[in-house]
Amino acid sequence: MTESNKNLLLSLQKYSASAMLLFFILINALLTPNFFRAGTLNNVITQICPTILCSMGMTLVISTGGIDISVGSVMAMAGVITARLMTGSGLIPAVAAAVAVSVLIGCITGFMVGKLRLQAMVVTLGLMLGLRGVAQVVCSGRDIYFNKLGDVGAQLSQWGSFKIAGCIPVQIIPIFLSVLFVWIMIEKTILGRQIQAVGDSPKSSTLAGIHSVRILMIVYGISAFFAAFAGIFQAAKVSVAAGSSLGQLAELDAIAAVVIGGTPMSGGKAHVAGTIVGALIMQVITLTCVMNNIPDQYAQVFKAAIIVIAVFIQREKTK
Amino acid sequence: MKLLKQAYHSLYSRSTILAFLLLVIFASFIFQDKNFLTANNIFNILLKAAKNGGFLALGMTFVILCAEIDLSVGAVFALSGVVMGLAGAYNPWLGIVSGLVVGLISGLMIGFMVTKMRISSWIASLAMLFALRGVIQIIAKKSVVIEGDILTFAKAKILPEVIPGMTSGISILIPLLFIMTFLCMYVSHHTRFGMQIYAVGGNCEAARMMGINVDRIKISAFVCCGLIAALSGILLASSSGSATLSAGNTYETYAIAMCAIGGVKLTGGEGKFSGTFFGILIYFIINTIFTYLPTSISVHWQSIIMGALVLISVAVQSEIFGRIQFHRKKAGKTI
Amino acid sequence: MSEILLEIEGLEKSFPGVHALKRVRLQVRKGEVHALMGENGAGKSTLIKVLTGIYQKNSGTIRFDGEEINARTPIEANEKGISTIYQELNLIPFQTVYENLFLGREPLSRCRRIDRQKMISETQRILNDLGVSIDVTRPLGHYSTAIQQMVAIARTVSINAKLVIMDEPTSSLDAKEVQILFRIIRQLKKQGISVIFISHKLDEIFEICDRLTILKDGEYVGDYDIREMNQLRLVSLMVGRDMAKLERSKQEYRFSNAKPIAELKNIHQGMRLHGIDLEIRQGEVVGLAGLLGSGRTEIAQILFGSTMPDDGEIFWWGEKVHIHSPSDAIRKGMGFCTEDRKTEGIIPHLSVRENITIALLPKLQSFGFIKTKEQNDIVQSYIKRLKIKTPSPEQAICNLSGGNQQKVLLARWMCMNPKLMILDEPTRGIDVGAKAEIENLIRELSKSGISVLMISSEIAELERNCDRIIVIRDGKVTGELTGVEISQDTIMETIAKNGREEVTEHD
Repeated sequence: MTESNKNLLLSLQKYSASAMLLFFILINALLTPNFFRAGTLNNVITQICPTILCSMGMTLVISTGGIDISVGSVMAMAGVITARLMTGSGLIPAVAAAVAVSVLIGCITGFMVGKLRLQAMVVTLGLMLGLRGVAQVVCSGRDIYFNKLGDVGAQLSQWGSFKIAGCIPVQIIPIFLSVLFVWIMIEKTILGRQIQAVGDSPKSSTLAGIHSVRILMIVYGISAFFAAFAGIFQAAKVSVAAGSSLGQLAELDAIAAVVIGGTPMSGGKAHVAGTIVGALIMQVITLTCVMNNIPDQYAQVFKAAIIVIAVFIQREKTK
Repeated sequence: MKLLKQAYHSLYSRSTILAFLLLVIFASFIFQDKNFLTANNIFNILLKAAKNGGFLALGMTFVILCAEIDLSVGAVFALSGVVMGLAGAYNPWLGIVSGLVVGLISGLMIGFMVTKMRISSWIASLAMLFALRGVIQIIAKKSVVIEGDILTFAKAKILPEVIPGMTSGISILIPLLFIMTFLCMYVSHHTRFGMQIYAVGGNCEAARMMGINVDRIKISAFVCCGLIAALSGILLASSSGSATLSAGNTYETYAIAMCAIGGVKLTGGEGKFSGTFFGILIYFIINTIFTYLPTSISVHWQSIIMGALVLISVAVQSEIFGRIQFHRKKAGKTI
Repeated sequence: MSEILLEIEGLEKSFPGVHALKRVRLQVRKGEVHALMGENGAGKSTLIKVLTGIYQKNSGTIRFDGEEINARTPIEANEKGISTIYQELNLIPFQTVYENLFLGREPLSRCRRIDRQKMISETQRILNDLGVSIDVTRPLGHYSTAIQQMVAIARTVSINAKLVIMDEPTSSLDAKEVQILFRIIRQLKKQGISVIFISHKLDEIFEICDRLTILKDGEYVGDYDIREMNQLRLVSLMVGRDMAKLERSKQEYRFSNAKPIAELKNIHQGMRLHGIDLEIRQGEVVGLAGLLGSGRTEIAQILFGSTMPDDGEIFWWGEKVHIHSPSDAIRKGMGFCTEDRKTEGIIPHLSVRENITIALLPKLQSFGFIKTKEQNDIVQSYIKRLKIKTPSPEQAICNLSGGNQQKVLLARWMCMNPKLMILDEPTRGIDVGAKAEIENLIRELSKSGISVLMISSEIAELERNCDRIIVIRDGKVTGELTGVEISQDTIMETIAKNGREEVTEHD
């Protein structure tokens, strides 16, 4: 292969996700009536919030070479705990408690993966089953409707439906904060460096004096932290906390966003911007189908194909 | 001392069966009044296992032994039933065959993506899960009714009046589950394919150097998994008379859990189908126990216990206990 | 004279930037054990990989058993009758012994069932022929490395191999197990099978081999009958004299009264170290000499906390300490440039900047944020000082040459202001220019009062840079040279000395 060809291929890989996103937006510009309206953007923001939150944590986890498939269940657990506690304790303490429990569980996951050297996949699979059960137990298997919870319920519902300045959905705040947080962490802090170092070469990192167990505990803790907020915001949006369905398949969306965004499954690199692009691609596909009255099911098949294509294009880079 | 070591090893290697026995004894004592150990109840548990994803764990074992994973089994399970119902409306035999073809195609595609496109099986089968769930919704809007003698073959019962308490006989799903288990055990123990699966999962590179066609083994394992999942979906649809669109939702995680509980090592290369079978039984016994408990105890504890069981079983599989077993490993472990 | 089985003539192999094999020749006769000798980087493993089809040769001929061959894959080489026993055993630990023996060519009985009975009895027969009696139905992982190796050898025998290549087969065996292995090698000889034996342990070579071929820097040095060879001559042929103009810079030993900063007392570890006593004084450069596998690297690992000793004490500035992890050692003021730069040194996809400061980061922070300006200053100053050639500090380190990667790693520790630097093979795979620069740096470090523990297989390098040299052999200190005593000849003599006695002691 000649040098220029190689470069072309490399840049193709590098920008494949962005190119794909642009391509979809272009198609929409041509085919979808009313695509460029504020409503569309607002729609995207409200829908994408949990995916972005979870995928930010997932980006960190995957960049350490692990995976966290328990985020969906953490979402459910956090949402349900908040809903159960807030009538007694008020909204903020309830949220704090839910988040604290989630972070604790995340740290334990990190410990099991780092210190006990269990496979991340299996540990989080166990948690995925177990925490879904915890969520169900906490809500006694019934959906908790916020409109029956009086003032506090209405307050939490506001977290999901409030519009800043009357037009921008409130979900923009967690999205913005989480992206900013993870981006700063990756780019500016020593923790970010150490996370990528551990994912890139665990042996070299340990020999350079990095406590990999501590790093993994923090990373899984952060993942659970974001997942908890994703759960609370998602519950707020629909005004109901359902232990059975809240956050179902959220882990899959998050993983898909991360890998489409070019963060290699083998770890060592975190592409925060790529993850956002990945999440947007998935969302735009859904939206395109909705706005053109194509049933959602087609969107799903299409998404599957996009995931495979995106991973296939970027696969050389991950090796 | 030596005796103790031997005892430990033999118990360790049989920990699944041990857990199973303990569970049965425990349950039969506690639920004496609920007739836990009656034929009726035992067959009920087995029937539940045969209907709700017991087969999936058997198929999943093939894939996990190769050190891969298949998240699409739940979707295949649902789709095959739906396809059988739709195609069966024209010709019942066509229905059954096309139901199985669903599993075949899904297995082939995942296998192709994993071996030829070198995409991780998590991503490949995840994409397949998305796609198949979408396809289900596209081809059917609501549950498909399964009619006709041929299509509802799984409603058949055998051995009427033979087993006390089972006057109308037992559903053929139960013997089918046993037959499938024995078939899998046979394949894994007595065929080249079975032996080579273990080699591929145990050390892929070494297997390749030994002249084993690793890609072909992996694709075959995915096909086995897909076919068994499709068969299971067909059996459920056929025995219940309708194919629901959401059937098998999240069953993939339960199938993996049953394998893990059954002592199948998720890093590949180690594990037995008999272990998986006991994993299935443990799962469904716990499942049944929860129906006995007073309603004040939520049935959802079941899920928590399952999660804990998965964690325990991987911890048991991990170095911590393994180290005791492989005490001859050389000292001087470096980081 | 017996018949020639393998004949390699004028073999050439180059990789981008490296001429790995230059007109190499090798002759192996039927039924002989032939040693392939040479220090690391001499081209032994490249030669083996070409022979077994993992690499493709550029030119030259390989004649095997009378016909010219050019294997494209290991499987093809296997079919021709060339089998390799790798250091990393290519077997499947979870499967039983007999399954491992027959994988890929399982015998079938009626109805395409695999015939386990036949496999078991065949395996027992083959292993009995080799004098090994074990329960073949147990998983391979239950047995010791030695037994696993026997099984690997049995596998090669059962597929009618004519030539078995053993790449450092004894590296993880104890003395008794080595004897078992040797018995089996003799058995193979009797059956007319040839063996190419690679080992760094000289005693073993003299015990088991009939002839040997020496390679150095990818070139053929010669082949010799083992009877016309002695240890000293072998060592000097392998290591060779360094032709570079670099001169020894040290003369008098000036550190007799310096304060010891690190001491190891009676350290035992696994099968590698058997009672090591060692002292490093402030400001001196201590060299660890000895052949590969003698335990040099293990000493460094123990000092740096990446391996725990089974027994023994470590003192730091006269105080007894326990070093549990590399970060403990770093906090005490140590730095460790490992032998294997690729997997235990660089963090490949991070930039030069990150790689230099990764260990320093905890000191470069305010509230967890990296002080970018200070970081850049440090990075820039070290890039300048060590003349690291990189397009920019943002370049991923895996794109740099070996010499520059090594300088980055040196910079990583130098910026920590260490008290002790441990350098394991600091100039391996580095070109001459960068080598001189790194040696200069070592001198600078020592001048500024930093102690250096240097491990090297290159005797000339040790001679040039060390104030004191400690010779390690089979996990024990066997000699010490200081100041003016140090010369290439004395080092080699000390390494070669006492070999025979050691072995009889083991038996």
